[in-house]
Amino acid sequence: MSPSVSVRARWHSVARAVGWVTFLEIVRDKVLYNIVVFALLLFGLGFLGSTMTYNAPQRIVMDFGISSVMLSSAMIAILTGAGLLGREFERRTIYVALSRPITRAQFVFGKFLGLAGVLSVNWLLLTAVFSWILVTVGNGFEDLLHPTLFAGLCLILLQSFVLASMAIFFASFSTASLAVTFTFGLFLIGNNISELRALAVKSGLGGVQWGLNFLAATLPNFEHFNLGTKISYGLPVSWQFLAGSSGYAVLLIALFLSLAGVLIRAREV
Amino acid sequence: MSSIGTDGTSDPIIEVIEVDQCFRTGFWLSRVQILHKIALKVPRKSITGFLGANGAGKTTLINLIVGLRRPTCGTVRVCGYEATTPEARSRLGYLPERPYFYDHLTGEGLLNYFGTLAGMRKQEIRTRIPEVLTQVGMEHARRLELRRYSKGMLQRIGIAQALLHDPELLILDEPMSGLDPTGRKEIRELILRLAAEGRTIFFSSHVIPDVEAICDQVALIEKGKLVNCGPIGQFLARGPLQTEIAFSNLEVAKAKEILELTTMREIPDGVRAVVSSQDSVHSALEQLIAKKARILWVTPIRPSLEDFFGKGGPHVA
Repeated sequence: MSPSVSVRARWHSVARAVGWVTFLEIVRDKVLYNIVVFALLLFGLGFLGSTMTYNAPQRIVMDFGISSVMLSSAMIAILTGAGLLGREFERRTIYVALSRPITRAQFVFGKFLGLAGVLSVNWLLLTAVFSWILVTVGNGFEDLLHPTLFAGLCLILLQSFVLASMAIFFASFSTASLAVTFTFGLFLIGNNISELRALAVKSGLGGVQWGLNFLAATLPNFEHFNLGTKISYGLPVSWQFLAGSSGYAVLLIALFLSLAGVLIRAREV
Repeated sequence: MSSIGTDGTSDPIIEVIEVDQCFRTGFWLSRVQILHKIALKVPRKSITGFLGANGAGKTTLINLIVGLRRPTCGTVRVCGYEATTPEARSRLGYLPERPYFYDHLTGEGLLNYFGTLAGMRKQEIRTRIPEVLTQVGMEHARRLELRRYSKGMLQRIGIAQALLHDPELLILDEPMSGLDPTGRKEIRELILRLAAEGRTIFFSSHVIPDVEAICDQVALIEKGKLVNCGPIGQFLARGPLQTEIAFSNLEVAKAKEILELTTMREIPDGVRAVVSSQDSVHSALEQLIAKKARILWVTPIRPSLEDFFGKGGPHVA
């Protein structure tokens, strides 16, 4: 009876195994399909809206399309990410996993990978459907398929990864519902960092100004993942901006997952 | 404080040294002590039954041994390594109480998953899966989703995952809980087979006959304190040895004249009586024969673990 196993399981093997099990677990969740259907309905609504206007129907289609991908990705990341760890503790499925020679940080990273896999599949599906509709409907909609659209969609995917890591981080020390609230709150504020800075200038009060500027500097800035009207008008985006946003996303994900790995060590089983 | 296996166990596989465990509960996070100065040594290649009522602290101690928690005070060692280290965890297999596994996985998928977490290579996992499934009698359910498993099948697949990386120590938390009599018997037989292969088995239970039937070491825990421990023979040899005598052809009223017979109960074919002292058996039998009673059987009544359980019983230093 000599254990033929290595003392510590390899990082990539653990992450892959936990990630795959998590992926299978999430794709069986009915909430996921409701969100996807919701996104597809938004696509349809966009096209319906475009038929009712003479003024820039392409813009309506584009805005609805981008919003549906962004909303569905964010909803999956937040709602699923917030429940991933809590469910492991509630169902006690984490017990046997942690009795193996793995670290809790490895486990958290694996859970993130599984969720990232689901987000990627959802993103691929919606992007493919959106592109297919634009091409098949015709009426000049195919002109909307420009590089900026794909750059914007890629940034939405990165944003959803960041949201997933945030939700996992908050879930590592609080309940699922609180994790949803915190993540959604930060997502809202993070999408309005410019407004926060403008408010700081407007307030004119030293302390308030300092506080608002401090928040704007420290809170995750989701404006880095939002190309806004550049997508609607097909304006070019510099590769420096894209590289900067990608680096920022990687940094945030690493930060949130590391913190989750540390916090979950203190969580009692 | 008490310990088991102190005699002749210079190299215990589990060593719990002066362990205290506290939890913080409630709004004010007040400190509640669950385990009090637990000391325990489990000898290699033994089957140790860990008995205690619900809430006595069995699962808490098992969580410490498995390395899921660190003790507030004291040390827990497994195979000579501190329990939370990967070295210790790679040497044990663990079946939790009420094993809730991912029910969307098949039996094979679950074993693949836990094999990878144990640091096994793919080839090793592929070789071991049929072996462990055969060991626990689950070859037929290899490709069945866990949601379709019965309670007994879940326990078996739980034991299979604990065995997969061929550990020398198995920690089973309430392995027979919720099983029907056939299921209990099958799990008991499985534990005996695994022990015969040279594994050390440490399992918790609150069902005394299960422990009595298969263990060679016993530890009793009550309100977080280890109150009794030692080889099972040491327990069963203690206490008053009573004898049951069954007879017929004599009325209970007349039998009551025999002072040595204490409790008496009528049965369809006669009377069952208990003689509390071994010295009185001979005299009781002589008097029964003198009264023309027909002796049906004479059986010694060994004290069971139940007699110790709850009373605390004699402590082992």
